Amino acid sequence: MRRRPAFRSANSGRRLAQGLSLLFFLYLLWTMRAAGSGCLPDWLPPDLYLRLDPLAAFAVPVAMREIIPPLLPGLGVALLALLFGRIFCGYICPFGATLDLARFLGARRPAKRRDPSPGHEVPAATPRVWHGGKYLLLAALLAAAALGVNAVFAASPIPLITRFYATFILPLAQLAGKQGLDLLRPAADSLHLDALSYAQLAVRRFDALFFILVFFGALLTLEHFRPRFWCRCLCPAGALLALFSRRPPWRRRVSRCTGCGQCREHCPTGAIDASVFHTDHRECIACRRCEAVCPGVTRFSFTSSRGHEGRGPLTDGAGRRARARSGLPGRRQFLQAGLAGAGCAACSLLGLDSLQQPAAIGLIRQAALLRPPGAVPEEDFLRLCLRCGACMQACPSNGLQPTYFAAGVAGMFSPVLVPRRGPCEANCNACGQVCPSRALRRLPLDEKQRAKLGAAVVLPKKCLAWEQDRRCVVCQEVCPYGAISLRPEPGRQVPVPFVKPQRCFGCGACECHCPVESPAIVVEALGALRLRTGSYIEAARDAQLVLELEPKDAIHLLPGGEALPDGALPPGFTE
Amino acid sequence: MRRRDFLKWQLAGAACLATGFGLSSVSDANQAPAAWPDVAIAKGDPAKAVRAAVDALGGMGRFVKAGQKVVIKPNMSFARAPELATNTHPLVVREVLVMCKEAGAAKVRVLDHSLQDPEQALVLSGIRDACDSVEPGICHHLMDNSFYQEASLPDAVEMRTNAFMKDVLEADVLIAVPVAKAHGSAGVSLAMKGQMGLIWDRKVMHGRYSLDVSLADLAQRLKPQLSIIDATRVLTTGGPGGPGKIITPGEVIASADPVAADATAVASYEWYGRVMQPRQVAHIRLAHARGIGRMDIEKLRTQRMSV
Repeated sequence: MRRRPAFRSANSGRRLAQGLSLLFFLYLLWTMRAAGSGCLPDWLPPDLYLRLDPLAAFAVPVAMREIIPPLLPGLGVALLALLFGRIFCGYICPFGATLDLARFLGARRPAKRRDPSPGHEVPAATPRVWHGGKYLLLAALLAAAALGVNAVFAASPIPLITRFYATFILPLAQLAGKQGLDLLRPAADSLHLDALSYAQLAVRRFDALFFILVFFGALLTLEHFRPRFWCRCLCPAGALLALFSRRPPWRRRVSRCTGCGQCREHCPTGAIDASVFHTDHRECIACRRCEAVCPGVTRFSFTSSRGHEGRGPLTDGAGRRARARSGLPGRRQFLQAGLAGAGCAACSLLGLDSLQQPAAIGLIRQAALLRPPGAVPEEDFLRLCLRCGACMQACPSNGLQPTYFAAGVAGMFSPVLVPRRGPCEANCNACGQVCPSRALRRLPLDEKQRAKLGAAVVLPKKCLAWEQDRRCVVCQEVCPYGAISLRPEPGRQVPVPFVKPQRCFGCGACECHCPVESPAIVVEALGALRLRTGSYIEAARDAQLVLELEPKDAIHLLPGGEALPDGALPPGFTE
Repeated sequence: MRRRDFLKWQLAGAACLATGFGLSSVSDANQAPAAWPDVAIAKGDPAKAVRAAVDALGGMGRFVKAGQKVVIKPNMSFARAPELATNTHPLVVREVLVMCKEAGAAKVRVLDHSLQDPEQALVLSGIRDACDSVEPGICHHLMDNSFYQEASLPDAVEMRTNAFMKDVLEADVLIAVPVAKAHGSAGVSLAMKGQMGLIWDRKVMHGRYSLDVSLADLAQRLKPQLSIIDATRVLTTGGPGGPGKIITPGEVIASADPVAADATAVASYEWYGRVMQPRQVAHIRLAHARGIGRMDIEKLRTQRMSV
C-alpha cells in the first residue's frame, strides 16, 4: 500500500498541534510557581486549560446555581464542537496528548518496513456498547450537580491531568534533576562553575499520590491494549462534546473510495462503520489517521470534494440511508445513570459517608481543616473546587496538599494547608491567582494578609520552654505577624511563649519550625475568615483582629504589646 | 591566642626601640601592632565605618592573606527590608567583601542557612544585590544537605557532632558580620549566635542540648577570626525577626575576639529599655569562662572613632 503524501501533512500537522498544546500546557503549569510575578501577560492566565474544560463549565454553574465567569471559555469549547466536532480531543486536550505520548513511547518499533510505524498499528476494537459508558458517567455527574454536589473532579480530564503533572510528574523530574546536580557538583567545583556548583533544586512532595498512581497507571497501561480507551468509553467531557458533535460542518468526507476498509481498521475510536462512508462524528476525535491510510481521497473539511470518481457512493454518505448504529445509550440507561449520580450525591449531602464532613446538613465542622487563604465558605468551596492542584503547584512552601478524607468524600483531593510541610508565606498570594473556578478568591496581597486561616495553640506539655524550662521560642522567632509574646512565668527560668489569637493569621510558621518532633504549637481553624464576597480588611477590623506584618505598635517593648514588668529581665537574659 | 599576641607585641616593641622604626602590617595601616585596640567602634556612614573599624584593628590584611579562602557570615535569613534591622545592612556586607578582595582573597563566599524562604530573604534584605555588584554568584543560602558535611566538635561539652557547611570547613578565614539584635531565647543575636547559620541541624540545640552550652560549643569550633557587628541600626526588642523597637546608633563594632565584640554590643545599647551587662547573656558568660574570648571589656582597649 502506497503511503500518500497527505499522511505526513494531515497527521503530522495534528501531531504538531497536539505536541505544541501539551508543551504549552506544561509551560503554563510551570509559570504557576511564579504566579503573580508578571512573567505572563494579563490576558494569558496560567489556568487557561482548566478554564477550557467543557464539563466543568456546565456542571459547576449547575451545582452552584449561578454563572461562573472564569469557566465560560469551556462553554466556548463546547460550542466549538458544533463547528468542528471533537477537535478538542484530537488537537488540544493535554489528557489525550499524554495518552498518545504514552502509546508512542511504549510502542514496539516496527520489525519490517511494511509494518505500520509506531503509533499506527491497527488498534483493537472495543464493543460499541462500551462507548456508551461515557454518556452514562456524564449523566451521573450532571445529576449530582443538579443536587448541588460537585463530583466532576472524579472524572474531568483537565483537572485530573493537571494534578497528574503537578503532583507526580514534575516532582519526579525535580528529583531526577536534584540527583543530577548532586552528581555534577564535585565536577563543577573543580571547574569553578559557581552557578552550577551552588544550584539547588527543592523537590516538591505531595500527598494522596496513590490514587494518581493507580488511576493513571491503569489508564496508561490500558493505552497499549485499547488506545484512547479513556476518550472512547469514560471521558465525560468527551461525552459532552460528543453531544454537540452530531454533524459538524468540518468533518470527515470520503470521495474516491476503493473499499479497502483500512480507515475502519485504523480508527482508534471505532467511529467509522462498515460502510466506511459514514462516520459517527460523536466518536470521531479528528485524529485523521483514516486520512493517512486512505489510498483514495479522505479529507477533513468544510465542503465536499469536487469531482467524484471511483466506485463508491458519493460524498460523505451521511445521508438518511446509511444510519449507523449510534453509541448513545438508550433513554432508560440515561435515567438509571442519572439516578445513580443523584443517589450518590444525596448520600454525600446527608453525610452518610463521613460523620465529619463539614458541608453536610447540621454536622460538626472539623476543626483541623485549614483551607488556603481566600477560600470561600465550605459549602460553596466544595462545589467550586475542581481538585485541579493548581493552587498546590503555585504554593511556594509546598504546604498546600490534597487530602483524602479530611473533608469527607465530597472533599476528596481538595487542598488543605499542612503547616508542618510548609507554612502559608506572608508575602505570597499565588494560590488565589491561579484558581480557575474562584474557589480561592483572587485577592490582592493586603487583602490576603487578613484572610485569617486559623489560630495557633501552644501545647504546654510538649513545649520545651513550658515543660522543660529550656531556651527555645523558635515559634516567636519565625512568626511573621508578631502574634507570639514571651512572658516571664513564675517558677521558670526561661521566658515562655503565649499566642495572641487576635494577631495570629494561622500561617503555621510556628508549627512548621517547632523543634519538637510532634509540634508543641499547632494551628487549628479557629476564628478563620471565609468570605464569598467583600473585603477581608474590613472583616478583620470588624472581628477586632490586628493582622499586620509591621504593626504600628511595633515600638512596644515586648512582642504582642505588653510592657516589661518592673524588675523583670528582658527575654533571654539572666541574672 | 592571647599569649601569642602578647609575645608578638613585645617583639615588635623591642624591634621598634632597636630600629627606631614603627612596624607596619601587610596592609597600609600605619599603626603598630602594639597599638591595635581589642575592640574598635566606628561611627558614621555604614561602609566608611566598617572600613575605619577594621583598619583600626590593623586592616583586613591582618586577617586575610593573599590566596586564602574566606567565608563571610552575615544575618540574611529574614525577608525584611534593611531598615527593619533583622538583617545585616547590605552596604556593610558589601564593604567587608570589597576589603577581602583588596586583601587578595582567592575565594570569598557570603553564606547563610535560612530557616524560611531563602529567595525572598536574599532579595528583600538587599544583600545578594550588594554582593553581586562586587562579584556575582557568591551569595547563597545553602538549603540542601549535600552542601554540609558531618564533623566533630572535639572540645564540646554537649554538642559533640553536627554537619557544617563544606565551604566553612575548607575556609581559611571566617568573618562574622551580624546585625545587632535581641533574641527571645538567647538574649541577643550577635557574632556567636550567628554561627548557628553555618550548621545543618539547629533543632538539636534547642531540643536535645542546652542552647547556651551548645552555643559555646559552636563558638569553640567555629571561632571567627574577625567579628564585625553592624550596629548602624539595632533591633532592641522583639528579635530576632521583629517587629520591635529599632534604634539607630550608626556604629560598627569590630574585634578579633567575638566574645569581646558581643560583650561590647550588649553593653553599648539598651535592650528592652534596660541597661544590661555582658555577663547577663548566658552564652557570653560561658564563652568567657571557657577562655574562648573575654567579656570583661572594661579591661580591654576599646578605640572609638567617627568618620
